[in-house]
This record gives sequence, C-alpha cells and structure tokens, in this order.
Amino acid sequence: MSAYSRITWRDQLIGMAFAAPFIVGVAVLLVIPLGLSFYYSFCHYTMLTPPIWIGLKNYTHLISDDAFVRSLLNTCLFSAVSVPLALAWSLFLALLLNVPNRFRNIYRTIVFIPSLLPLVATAVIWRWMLSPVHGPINFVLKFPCRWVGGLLADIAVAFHAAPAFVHALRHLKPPLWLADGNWAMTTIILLSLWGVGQTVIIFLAGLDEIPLELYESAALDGATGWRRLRHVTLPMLTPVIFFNLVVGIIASWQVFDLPYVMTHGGPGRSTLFYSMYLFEAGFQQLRMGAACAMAWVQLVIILLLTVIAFWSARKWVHYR
Amino acid sequence: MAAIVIPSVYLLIFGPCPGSLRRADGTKIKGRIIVSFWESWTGFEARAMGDVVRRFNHSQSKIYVRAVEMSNPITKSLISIAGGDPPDIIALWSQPMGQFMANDALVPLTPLVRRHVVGRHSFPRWIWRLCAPHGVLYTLPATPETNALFWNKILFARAGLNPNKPPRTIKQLDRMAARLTVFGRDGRIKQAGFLPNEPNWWTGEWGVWFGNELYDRHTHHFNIDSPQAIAAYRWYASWPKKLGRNRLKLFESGLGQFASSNNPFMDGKVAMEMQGTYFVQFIQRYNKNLIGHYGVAPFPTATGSPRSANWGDCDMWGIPRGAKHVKAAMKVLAFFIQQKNIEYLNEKQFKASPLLKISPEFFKKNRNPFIREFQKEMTSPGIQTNPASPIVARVKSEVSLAASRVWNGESVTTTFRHAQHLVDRWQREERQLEARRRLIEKRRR
Repeated sequence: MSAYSRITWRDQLIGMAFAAPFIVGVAVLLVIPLGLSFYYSFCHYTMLTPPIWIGLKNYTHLISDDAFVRSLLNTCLFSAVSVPLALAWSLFLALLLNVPNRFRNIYRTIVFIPSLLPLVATAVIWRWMLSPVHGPINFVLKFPCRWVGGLLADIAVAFHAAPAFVHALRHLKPPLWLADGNWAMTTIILLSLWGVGQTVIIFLAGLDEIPLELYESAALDGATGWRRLRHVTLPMLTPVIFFNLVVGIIASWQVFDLPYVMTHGGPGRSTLFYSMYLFEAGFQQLRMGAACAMAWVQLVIILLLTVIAFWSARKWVHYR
Repeated sequence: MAAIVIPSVYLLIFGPCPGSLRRADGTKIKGRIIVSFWESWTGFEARAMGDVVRRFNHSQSKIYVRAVEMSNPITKSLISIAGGDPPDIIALWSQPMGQFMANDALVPLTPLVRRHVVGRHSFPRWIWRLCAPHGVLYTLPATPETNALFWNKILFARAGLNPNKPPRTIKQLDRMAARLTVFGRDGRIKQAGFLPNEPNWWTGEWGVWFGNELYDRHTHHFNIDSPQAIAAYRWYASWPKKLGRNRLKLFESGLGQFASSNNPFMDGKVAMEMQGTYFVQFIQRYNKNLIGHYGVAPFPTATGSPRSANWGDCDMWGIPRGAKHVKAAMKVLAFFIQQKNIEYLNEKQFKASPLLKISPEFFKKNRNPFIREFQKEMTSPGIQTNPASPIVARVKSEVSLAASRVWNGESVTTTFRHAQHLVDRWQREERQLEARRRLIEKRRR
C-alpha cells in the first residue's frame, strides 16, 4: 500500500484548511482582479457606471492613439538603453568593489545607499541638481564646455568650417537636461543608473560564488587580468547577469515614479512612459477599460521579452 | 490581576472614543451626524474654509462637519464613489464636472432650488451654467476665478513706459513686452516683458482672447483649429522665435515656484503676466515690496474691446452619489452658500463673490485692492468656461500638447488640424457610447 493511498479525506481537508488562506488570498487578490481586468479590457468602463461591452475597440483604438504610441516607443527606447547600461554600470561597480581594500565595506555602503532613498526625494534633489540655471551640475559643466568648445572651434577654423558651425562651437553650453525635449529622455536614462545598488549587491554575491580554483588555474595557464575577466569571471557570472537582465526588463517596462515626479511626461510627451499613460487613462480620464487593455498589452510585451530572454539564455548562460 | 489591569489600561487609552469628546474648537460631536467634507485648499485658503466650517458646527447641534484637506481630491473622490464609500461633500472644479455628470456621480441639489435657497438668478450666468450644466443644479459655487493682466509698474517706468497705462490690445502687449525685455551681455534673457506660458496654466485657452469660442454650446463642437484659434497659436508660437528658443528655455528653467518669493512676476523676472484673482493675496504674502507697484486690468484682446473675452472657473461643492448623509450635507451646503458665509470665504481668499447680490461690507472688508474690478468682471458677457463634457480633460490636454509642439517649432496649422481631428473622433465615440448607454438603460427598465 503506497503512502499516497493511505491519505484519508480528513487529512486532505486538514491540508486544504491550512492552504486555504493562501488559496483565498491568491483568488481574491490576484485571480479575480486579473479576470475582471481582462473582461473590462473589452468594455467601456469608467468605474462609476456599469461596463458596456465594446469588443476589441479598446485594443484597436490603441494603435491610433498618439499618446499610447509615443509612450510605447519611449518605454521601448528606455528599456533598450537603460537595461544594458545599468547592467554594464553595476557590473563595473561590482568588479571595483570586489577588489580587496581596507575601505571596501564603506565603498559598498556608499554605492548601496542611493537605492535606499525614497525615489520621490531622489527625483526632487536631481531636479534641482540638473536645473540649467541654479543647478550645480551645469555650473561645473560650463567650464569644460567653454574650453572644449573653444578647442573644437579652433580646429573647425583650421578646417575652414562654416562660420555658423564655428560660432555654435565657440558658444557650446551644457545641456538643458529636463527642460529640453531632446535631452529629457537621456536624463531620465542616466538617472536610472543612480539606484543600481541592489543590482551591484547581487553581482557581488555572484562574484563571491566563483571558485578561487578557477582563477588559480587560469593564472597557471598565464591568463592576465582582462583574460581572467573574459574567460572566468563573465562566464561564471552569466546566471546572475541573466537574473538581473530579466528583472531589469520587467522593471524598465513598469517605470513610473521617477519620470512622473520629474517631468510629468514632458516636455511635450518626450518622457511619457507606458505606466504613466496607463495611470492617466485609468484614473484621470476614467477610461478604465482602455487602461485595462493597455495593462494586458504590457503584460504580453513583458512576457514576450522574458520568453526571448529565456530562449537566448540557453546559448549564453552557463550554469555550474 | 492582569485580567483587570489590561482591560482597564485599554479602556483608559481607547475608551473615550472621539465621538464622546469635545473637539479642539470646543464643539461636542456626540450624538451628531458627522458629515465628511473633502476639500482641496491648503494654507491660508484652507484656514478660511475652516472658519466657515467652524461657524456651521457652532451654529447648531445636530450636524458636525469634519473637513479633510487633501491633494488631488477629484481622483480620490471618483475612486471613493466607485468603491461605494464617498464622503458627504466634495470640492471640485469645472474640468472634471463633465466626467461627474456623464457618470451620474453627483446628487442633484434640486431641494435647495425648491426651497429658494439658490436659483438661476442667484449667480452670474456662466456660474449657473457650471453648476447646473443641463439646467439641473448639481453643485454650488465656492470661489470663482477670472483672469486679468498683472503688470509691474516699476519695470514699466524703468522701460520708459507709462506705468498707469497697460496694453489693451495684443499688438500693444507685444510692443510693450519687447521694450520690457532685457538681455544680458552674454545674450541671456535677464527680464521678459511677457511670456504666454508663464504660468503654464492657460495654454489650452489662448484662443479665447482672439475671439475663439472653445466650445460651441449649440452645436456641442470643440473649436480647436478655427481661424481665431490658429491666429492665437501663431501669436503663441511667435514668442520663442522672437526671443530665441534655447535662450528662452534657459530663462524659463531658472524661474522660481509660483507660491514663493521667487515667483517670476514677484521678483521682477517677468513684467506682465496673466493671473487670477487669488494672485493678489500671494503677492501680499510673498513680496510686500510690490504692493502698490503693480496694476490689474482686463487682459488685452486681439480686437481691443474691453471685457470681451475671459476665462472663468470656479471651485464648487457637490454631494457625491452614495453619500451617507445627503440631507445633512444639503443643510451644510445651504449654510455655506448663505451670503454672509460665501462672502466671508471669498473675502478671506481675496476673491470675488459668486453671488449676484453683494453686500457693501464685502467690498469694505475685502483686502484685495482690485476687488471691484474683479467683481465687475464676474458679469462680463465674454466669459467662457469648461463645458460639462466627459472628454474636456483630454481635449485640454491635447490642445496644451499642440501648443507645446508649436512652441518647439512645429507648424501651427498642421498641429492644430491634427488635434481637431482627434477631438472630433473622441466626440463621435463619446456620442456613440452615450447612445449605447441609453439603449442599455432603456432595456433594463
């Protein structure tokens, strides 16, 4: 008689009773809202009046919605640039912080602290830091701009460049950051690097896991610093890189608070992100049906990107 | 022992529940109906409202109003209505009215009209239209707003202009602004004569001063690309061209916060500004040195005819659907709208009264030196307001976006034509939905 067949109905009921809080919690807080939001995505729904079934209209209208298309493209760009940049930057920091040093723990703390700060406070401080007139960043940048601009202008004169071009170089000024639609997205991407502390900690944990014997045998084979990094550290870190990549992709498609506080999507719609427009449509314009449709499209996009990441992982992630 | 001590300590701490206590203002609330009131004001404006609430709480012993100040009360109110647990009274303004109306989210205030507390003839026509969009009263006006030109007399005199002669036409405004604009040695703007996007609050309404009717109440059509609107936004787009786009961006990025002594008008960075009635009190709070050195006049129009155009708005009170104490809330609103109370509130906020009947004391007590001008403006025939359309927020946002595009150099005609197409489509969709909603309701009945 197997152990399974000895389980009585009573045991099953007791088991179910213990699991019930979780099952009820998941059903009430996850499954029902998910199902409802899927249903509402096919309705005109304002939350205040009963939903009206409109079929696929919420989805088809998204294609012709300028704000939606812009928010989608902005988020694509943000994700495509910020995720690899954040990975590279945090890996670089982790490698630096992994070098044995008397002050290593202090440096690690300094790198980690920004990720503990509330994002709204961070956004407000950065807004001041990046103010083109009163901000300290542009105050410092104007000196190298003047110097580099003068140097480039002299070179341009030597090459008989157009006077307007030479004039522009001579009057080279620091960017206007968030005040300029052409720079606002770049600024948000750069600021997203500010909170990479947690990713750095995960990389550091990954670096600690790499067996020292591998480095010793690489050293015996004559591998120098760069080759050890290329052929030992990076391959051994690929599971951690993969984890951070997936988490980074998901987070980048949900970015909301930093641009919401800093720019409210402006200037124009240059920093309008997907989640911001979803919030605007749902809670400010009361188009909850359209917002639900957007949420499902977002889920599908994130799912697709995650599947692609998992599919590609077979080729470049090395598990021990 | 523990069985006695623990419950005793518990009772000592939690026993005297708030309902049985005297409030800080001295009113007892035990046995009273508690009416919750969500309001959006903060600071001195909230204190004025708080005074009126206190007056009500002391005036009788059956109802107690509990006022809660909050940011963004509209979104919170809508969500609370959807959740079935709204407050009894909410503060709102004209833009979200359409959404509230379309969703049947407000309780009609017809009992107040029936009891002759208020009526069509209590308010200027535009305020009545805001409060009773389809002829049925849904809200009561609290503090109305109209706009005016504020000009800095010191800067006028410094530029060789007559400090007592503000511009009357847009052309005069342009000419004076050019004389008032000062550039530094490095080419940067040091002082701007006028900037149409300082403050950036009326980007969607500029057409009004050029003769555009943003919303035609007869055809229910939004006029986004009418010749007048195009003329307005050509004028709007001319500012960055005149002053230099990058120079202007740099100048704007250095301008201070509205409610601070670094306000661009208050610290002399911008010589002329369009502002509302409330601005007088902000000047008195943040830059006393400017008192007596600035003037207020009707904002110039393209045609130059005075009082022919203005944009009006109004903070309002309403009772949301699902409120638990509708009758009590109705009594509170009837108290708020009494002449002496509404005048007190507006006098403390330096604003004009929304009532047509005004007591002489109101002008005597109101410390806004321009209150007579603002009060006169309230009955101006050219005042336009937000229509009670559920898509008005989207329309205004689209027009503001179009304005920011033309500010950055895009073609005015193409941009505004595109915006008009979008708005027309939203209107069509909204009409279809409305028809569908009615059909469903009919079938349900």
